[in-house]
Amino acid sequence: MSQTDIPAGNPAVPGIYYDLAVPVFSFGGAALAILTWTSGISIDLRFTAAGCVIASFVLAYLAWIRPKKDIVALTTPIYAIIFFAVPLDDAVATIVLELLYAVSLSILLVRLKYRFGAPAATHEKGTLSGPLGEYVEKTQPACAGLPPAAAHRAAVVFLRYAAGEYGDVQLEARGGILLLDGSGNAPAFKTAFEILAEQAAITEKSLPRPAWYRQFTSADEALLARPLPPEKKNDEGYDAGFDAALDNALLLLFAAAWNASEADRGHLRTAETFATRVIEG
Amino acid sequence: MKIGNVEVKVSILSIGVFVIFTIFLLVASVFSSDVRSQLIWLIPGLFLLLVIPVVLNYMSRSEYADITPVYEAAAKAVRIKLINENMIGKPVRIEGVVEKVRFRFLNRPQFIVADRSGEIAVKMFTNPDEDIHEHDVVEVLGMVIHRYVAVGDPVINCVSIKRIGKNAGPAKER
Repeated sequence: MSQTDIPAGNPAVPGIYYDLAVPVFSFGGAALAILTWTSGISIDLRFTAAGCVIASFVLAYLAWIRPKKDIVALTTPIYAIIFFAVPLDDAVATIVLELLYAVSLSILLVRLKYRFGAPAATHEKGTLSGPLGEYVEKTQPACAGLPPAAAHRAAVVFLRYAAGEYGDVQLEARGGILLLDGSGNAPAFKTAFEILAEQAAITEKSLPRPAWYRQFTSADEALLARPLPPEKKNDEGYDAGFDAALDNALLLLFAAAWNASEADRGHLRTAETFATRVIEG
Repeated sequence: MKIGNVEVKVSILSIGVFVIFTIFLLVASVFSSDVRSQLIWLIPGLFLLLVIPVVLNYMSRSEYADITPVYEAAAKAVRIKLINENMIGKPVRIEGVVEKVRFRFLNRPQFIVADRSGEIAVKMFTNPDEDIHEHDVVEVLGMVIHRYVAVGDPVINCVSIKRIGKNAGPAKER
C-alpha cells in the first residue's frame, strides 16, 4: 500500500480500511443473512442487504477520489438500492443475490485499483507533492529575489498556456520580461518567458517547428526540471530540444509563481495536474 | 452506401438487430395466423430498424463534414501531454499512433492515440471517413471534453480522424 493510497479529505483514516470495508460489509451482510436463515430467525433479510448498500457507497467514494473516474464503480449505489429495496419472496434467492453482489463489488474494487490508479495525492496546505513539489522546493532560493509583479505574471503566463490561450501568452510573456529587474537568476526566467512567447506564437499561428528556436543555456541548467537534451535530431528528424525547452520553461514559471507570488497559489492549484504531467513527462 | 457526398455506414449492431427480428418474424408468421395478418405493418416496421440507423448516420456524418473545415481553421496543434482540464472546450489537433480501437461495432469508435509525450482517448460519435486501425499514424481534430460530461479526465471529442502515415507499429516500441 503506497502513501498515495490514502484517500484525500480524511488522512486520519488509512486507505486500506476503505478498501477492506467493501468486502467486509458486502460479504459480512451476506454471512449475516446466511446465519439468520439457517438459525431460523424470522427477520426481513433486507436488513442484511444494508451491508451491500454500504459497501457500494464506499466503492463509489473510492472511485470518486481518483483523478480518473470509473463510471461503473460510481453507479454501484444505484444498483444496490434497486436490487435490495424490493424484497424477494424467497430467502435463498436473496442470499444468493447478496453473495453474487458481494463478489461483483470485490471484482470492481480490484479493477478500480489496477485500472484507475491511485487516489489523488493529499498534501498539506501550501505545499506540493511528488516530483513537482521537490522541483519547486529546489528552485525556492533562486526565486527569492524575483519581483512579485514578475512572479504574478509568471503565474498568468503559465495558466494561460495551460488553458490553451496561446494568443494571450505571447502578450503576457513579453510583459513579464519587462517586469524582471535583471538581478540574480533573472536571465533564466527571462529565457523562460521568451520560450513561452515564441512557442505560443508558433502554436497560435499553426506554424511548423523552426530549425532555430529559443533555448536555455547550460548556465541555466541548475534551475531546470530536466536536463538539456543533445541538440542534434534523431533518425526520424525529431528534435527533442524544442519540446524540452517548452517543458522546462513552463515548470520554471510555475516554480517562480508558486515561490514568489503566494496569492496566486490557489489559481496554480487548478493547473497542478497539468504541471505534474509536464514534469513526469 | 453513398447518399450525396456522404458515405453512410450501418453498424454491425443494427444489422444484427435487423437479422434477429427478421428471424423472429419469419418463425412467428409460420406458426401464427395473427402475425401473418399483420405482416403489412410488421414488414415495413422491420425495415425501419435498418432505415432509422441509416438516416441517423447520414445526418451525423453530414453534420461532421460541415464542421470539419471550421476545426481545421481553429484547432491548434498540441502535444498530447499538454492537453488538460483547463483546455475543456478548446479545439485541438494532435498527431499520433492509434494504440487501440474500441466500440467500432457500435459506429461510436473510441481510439487511444499516443504520441511521444503520452496518450489520450479520442471519442467519435459516428464512424470516421476512413477505416482506422491499430498502429495507423493519424491526425485528429476535435474538442477537449470531460470523459463523463462534467467529470472525468480530459478526452477528445473527435470531429475528424485521418490516416497520415503508414502502419507504424506500437508507439512505445518506436
